[in-house]
Amino acid sequence: MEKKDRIKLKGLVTVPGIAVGLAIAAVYLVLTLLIPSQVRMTQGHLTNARLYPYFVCICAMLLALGFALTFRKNEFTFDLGIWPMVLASLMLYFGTKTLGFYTSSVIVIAYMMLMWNNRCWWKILLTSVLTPVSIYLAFTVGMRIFMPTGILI
Amino acid sequence: MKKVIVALFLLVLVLPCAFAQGSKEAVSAEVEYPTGPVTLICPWAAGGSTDITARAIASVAEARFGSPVVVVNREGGGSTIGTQEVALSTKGDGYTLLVGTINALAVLPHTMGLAYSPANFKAIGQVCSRDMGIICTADKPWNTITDFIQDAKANPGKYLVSCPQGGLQNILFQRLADMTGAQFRVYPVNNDTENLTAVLGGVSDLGVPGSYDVAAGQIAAGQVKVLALFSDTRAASLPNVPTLKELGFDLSFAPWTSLLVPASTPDSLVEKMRGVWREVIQSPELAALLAKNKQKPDYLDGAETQLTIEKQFKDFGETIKSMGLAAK
Amino acid sequence: MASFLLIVQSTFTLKILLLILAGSLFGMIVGAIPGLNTTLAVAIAIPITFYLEPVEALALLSAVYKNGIYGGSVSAVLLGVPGTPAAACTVRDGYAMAKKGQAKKALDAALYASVFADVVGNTILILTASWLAQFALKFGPSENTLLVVFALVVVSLVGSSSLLKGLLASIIGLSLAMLGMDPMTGSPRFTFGNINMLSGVTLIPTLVGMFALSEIFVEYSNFCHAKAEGKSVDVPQDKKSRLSLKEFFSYWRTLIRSSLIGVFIGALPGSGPSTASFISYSMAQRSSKHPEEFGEGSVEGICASEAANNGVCGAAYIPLLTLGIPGDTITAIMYGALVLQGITPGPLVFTQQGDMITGLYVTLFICSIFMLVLGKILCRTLTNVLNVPKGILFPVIMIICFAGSYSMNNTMYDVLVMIIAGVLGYIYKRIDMPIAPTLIGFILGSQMERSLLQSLIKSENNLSIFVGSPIAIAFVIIIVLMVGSNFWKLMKAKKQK
Repeated sequence: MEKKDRIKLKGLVTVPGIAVGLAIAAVYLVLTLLIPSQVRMTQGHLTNARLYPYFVCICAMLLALGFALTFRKNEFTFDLGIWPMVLASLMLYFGTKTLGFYTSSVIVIAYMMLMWNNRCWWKILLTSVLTPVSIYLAFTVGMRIFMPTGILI
Repeated sequence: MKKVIVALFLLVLVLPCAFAQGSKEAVSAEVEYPTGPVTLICPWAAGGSTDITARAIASVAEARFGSPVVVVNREGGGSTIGTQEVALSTKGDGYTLLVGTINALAVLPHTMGLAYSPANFKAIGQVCSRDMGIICTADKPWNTITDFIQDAKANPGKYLVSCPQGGLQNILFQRLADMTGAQFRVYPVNNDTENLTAVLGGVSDLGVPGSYDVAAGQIAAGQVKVLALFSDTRAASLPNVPTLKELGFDLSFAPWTSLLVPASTPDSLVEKMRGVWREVIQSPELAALLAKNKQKPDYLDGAETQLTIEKQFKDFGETIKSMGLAAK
Repeated sequence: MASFLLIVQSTFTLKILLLILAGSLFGMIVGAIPGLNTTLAVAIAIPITFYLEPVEALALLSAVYKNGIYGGSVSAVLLGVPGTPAAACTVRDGYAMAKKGQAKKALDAALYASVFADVVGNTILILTASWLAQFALKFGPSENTLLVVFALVVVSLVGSSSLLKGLLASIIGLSLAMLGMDPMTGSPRFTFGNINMLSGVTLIPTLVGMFALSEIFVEYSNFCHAKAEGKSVDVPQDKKSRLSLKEFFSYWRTLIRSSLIGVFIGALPGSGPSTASFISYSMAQRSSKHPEEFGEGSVEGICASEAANNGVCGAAYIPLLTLGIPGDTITAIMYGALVLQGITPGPLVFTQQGDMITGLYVTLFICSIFMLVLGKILCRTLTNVLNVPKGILFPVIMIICFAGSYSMNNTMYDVLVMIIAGVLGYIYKRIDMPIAPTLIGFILGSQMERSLLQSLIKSENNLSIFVGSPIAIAFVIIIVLMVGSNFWKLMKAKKQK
């Protein structure tokens, strides 16, 4: 009982609605302020490349403020306990850049399966080898799409 | 337990990176070419006109080389992303070629302020070109471009001409207008298909598509007429349509497609490659495939291609600056 | 009549049937793989058509196209990942049903609705092609702008439990579309000097990230909680669940309306199956007898979404064949293939190439039959995927999503976009904000900017262009009525409280 509560509570973050709304509004405020430096003026008095960004950013800011006010009493819960999966996707991303796609996918599958509490070694071995092999067959042999390689394949 | 697993896997991933540096050796220039698989980078999406050209080149080259020739689509940024990637590559080994088009090489570097110029490339050869024309619907009162110019002079700013804003067609038509003093407004479209839609729907009065062939069906049916061609000579399928040159305007242009390698490729290899690829480009098999794709086989050797690109890059730079479209 | 029979006979060759079979299978599988979309499948089939007769080439490409669009719904139901953007609406109800153990029923609904709409689309193509094409040409920039506004209004008003969340979600989608090159001049926006940012946020990786990757996060979170409570997260599938034809046809109103929406949108150059399925899904929810079931696993919702996106397929041939104007990327590829065959689509194609057109019509119907049969077999086999424990299934999905996102443009930037979209999708799911409006906003964003600027340029900054034609006025009235009725409902609900 005690252990369950500890695990359940670990990593849970509760944020009030007003904070979520204000955070979104802040992002759009920054974007609006960046428009003059990040969007080059093009031809056209009104019909230039800045019309749409200004329109969208200001609308979004107003809506986000409305969101903050309407949902200020609501609370939203985020589970930070998902970090092993975020880490897995980043491992795959950086692993592909250095080691190559196939090697790092073997590693990442094994890692994810361990995280999902698989302890049967032959299942892990089989899945982590068969998946890249079938991807190779389908993508490279079948459709001539080459996956990125690093120092390994 | 969880932490141990994480630590272990991170270690496995990080360790090899330490050895990653310095393990790559410089590729020595080979006298034999090609000895392995060749990659053609197509900066447009699969299925487009440039992609079909690239795949036609690949299929002919593969049959000749006996080793695989693969088309890799690296789309994005209006074809600048794939082009820039090849331009800035320092590993010029002759096995990665760009299927380059005029817009990405001579126009967009000026208007978008990109990090490359034709100096980043060594040209292998020009493959083909297209006929660019000026089209309008058959119910318009103009029969040649001269009629339109006179009309546009009498009614400055009245007529809408559809073309990609700041693109090749916009610049060329602007040049024509500057020569004659005619004034028009640009109706911006993204591609030839949209251009034709605007012309047929009556939204724009005149269209300057990248290739008049986009309207081939309507031209055959007599719903669309071609007022003039930008190319040097008349097109075989349109014997009655004059070129701008014939009408007395000093303006001729044909958008081309060329094969290029990064400037980091050694000169001796480039020479060898020019010879090998010339045979591919001038082969009758490729000519047949290109003709089906409505492209004119138009071979230029590597050195000439290089000169053409550099000259056009300079010319367009000046026009773009005078039109106020240049990136700071 | 005799010549028609002759053409039918010549179409039923073994070669064509084999090509359709292979094309259908290939399209379905590629469509079902998250991240690989139908455009890629059709493009891969192009080099094969170099060596085929025109009718054979069209048969192969149509088979890949139609079945690819259908295949997108298979992974939408089974994995919660739309295989193609058009299946994004199918996810809501299809995946909810799979979670309840009714995956087979959901797959049946998607298949029947697709085939139904396909037949409707083909019939309309044959009967009214040239008339619809002339109508489609009347859609100038102002009409296009209003169509986009209409789609956004419909989706954000109906799709969500809260009006504000729906609106915010769609405006976030619109703002994703402003990153990268601007659609008019190609000048860079918010690229911070990075060339990869020129392509902005790429659609397919975003789709995969927001739906698939975020689902892995959510499921992992559920798994950790279930583990703490000592429960299992795996749901047993009900093997007997299936959709009877009687139940299917009880949704005939939705089916017909959705197919017609699909056909209408498909005939307009520039709008694709995703727009059609979003609009039709929202319209179905608005007019349904059980709107509360939408999103919880409603067969009607699946029918609406799938009927619309497959209705588009048949109609997409209308501007392609009659005007020679391909409406979207896939028909643009087909246009290229036809040109390679020496055929120029356009006003004369019906008189000059009449036999080929008739042959095409016949093959389109053969494709529908193959879709039904193959879909049935494929569904039966693929439902077994759900019996795989999640601890094995999700790692494999992660790898597939990664490979799929990479292979669209062969760049790691797209993979990064997918990961970021995954985290964003997780936040969406946690604050209960609907993903669909963001997606439709994103898909339509650049179209909206383009047509808005085009209208203003055309009219020299005069807003009266938006009421300048009968079609435009009709759109304005519909939009005003929809927003008005929603407010009225909202006020009534408040009063009752």
